[in-house]
Amino acid sequence: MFSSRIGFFSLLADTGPVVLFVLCLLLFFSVLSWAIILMKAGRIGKAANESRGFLEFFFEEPGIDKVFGETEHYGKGSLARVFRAAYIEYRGLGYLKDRARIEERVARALRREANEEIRALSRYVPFLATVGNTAPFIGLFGTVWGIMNSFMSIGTSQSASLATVAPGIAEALVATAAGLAAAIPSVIAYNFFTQKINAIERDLEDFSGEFLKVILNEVR
Amino acid sequence: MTRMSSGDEREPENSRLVTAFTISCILHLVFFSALLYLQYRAAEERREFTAIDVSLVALPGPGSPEKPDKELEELSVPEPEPKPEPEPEPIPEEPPEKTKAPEKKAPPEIKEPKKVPDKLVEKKKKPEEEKPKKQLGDFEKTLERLRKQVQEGPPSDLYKRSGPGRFGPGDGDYGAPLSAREQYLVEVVTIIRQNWSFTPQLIRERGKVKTYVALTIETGGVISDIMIDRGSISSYFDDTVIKAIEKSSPLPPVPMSVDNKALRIGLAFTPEGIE
Repeated sequence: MFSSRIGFFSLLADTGPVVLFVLCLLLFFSVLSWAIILMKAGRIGKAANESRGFLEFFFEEPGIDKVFGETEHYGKGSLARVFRAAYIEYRGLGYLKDRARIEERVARALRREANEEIRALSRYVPFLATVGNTAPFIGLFGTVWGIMNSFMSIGTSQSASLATVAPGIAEALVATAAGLAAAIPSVIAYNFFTQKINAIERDLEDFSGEFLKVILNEVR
Repeated sequence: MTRMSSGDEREPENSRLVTAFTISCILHLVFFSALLYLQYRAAEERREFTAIDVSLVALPGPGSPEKPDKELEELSVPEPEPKPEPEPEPIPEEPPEKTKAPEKKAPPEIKEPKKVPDKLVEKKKKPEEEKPKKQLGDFEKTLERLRKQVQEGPPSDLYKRSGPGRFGPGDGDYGAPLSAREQYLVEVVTIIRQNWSFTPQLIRERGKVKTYVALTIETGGVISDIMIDRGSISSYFDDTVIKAIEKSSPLPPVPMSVDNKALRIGLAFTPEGIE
């Protein structure tokens, strides 16, 4: 009685296997995309905030050795991690006196770490785009299937009354609603994260140039 | 060293994903639970309404059982629209009108309309009465209206008695204890209502939807002879009513104190509840 009296869930009770499968798939997509959203919101947010803090510290502090010691406090910051990798590379080249070679090696280390950082930040984010693009279509597929069955039931019951068609269409439309419910937050989150990652990427590029200059000054 | 640091980072990222996945599952669970709860609350609220309706119908008015009935019969004729009122009082009162109509059909055709228009006409007919030439036409119109009213009322006497509390003689004031028959019928109505489910969104013009169903309860409680005396405009609604009655069978056995033979009752179903 309890379940059958409840409008939305009573619709689900009579759905066919295909629509039910579509709904389960969309539910899984929704759960996974929200998991990614939660995880990435924390990760990207911290990376951006700590990078900002590290950058301020980097420009205030003239000695890179001191800055390196401070990077421990900016463990999640993208810039701090790139700096750390490039600094270790630079110190490892202590025996080299050739400025061009030092520049080349440090630049390569910077590029490698920056790529690694961007890759780590972007990890799982394309899945949000996939959900955003495909979930409405998957929902639509469920709806089309449900409506198809509704029309078939018109044929079998020889009646085109609202009572024959409406329940099937209502069930079917739940699939579209579920698809949109999964897609909308995913698209919003994808756009937000992409914009944030692009900003961090630009910061990394700018910082790499600055850092190279500082190192070359020190070599001189 | 650089590679190691990114490798170390990847490890917790996977575990972070698992944690986030768990949180996401919990969030979805909470969301659906809230949705379920809200819809349950909405359904509960709707049920409360029906409970109020039943209690109003169930208990007869103050004083002797016959006197108010007569008064109500007289009053029920002029009421042109009993539907907007949620109180189902006018509905069981109309059948006597119906039974009167066929009796008076053959012999005095003019007598009946004479009575009715006087009471029916309150605002609109006053100017009409002033024109004696059109009196015959007025009678016809009134007769037609009366027929319509009778058609809109319950289709048989079953529905007059079906409201718990309306069939027991001399039950007295509101709040008086119900007779065994009334108690049994209240129980029957409650069970059917519990088994009754429909999606209100699928019913348009809820005010006009009313299904009269007659059914027989065998002494053992099995429901038989389910018959729609008058269907509503929504066949979907009628289907849900029939399904609910079928689902409710078998009901508790008819107590000996109620009747020792099968019980034939009539129920009127509206989206607001059972009358």
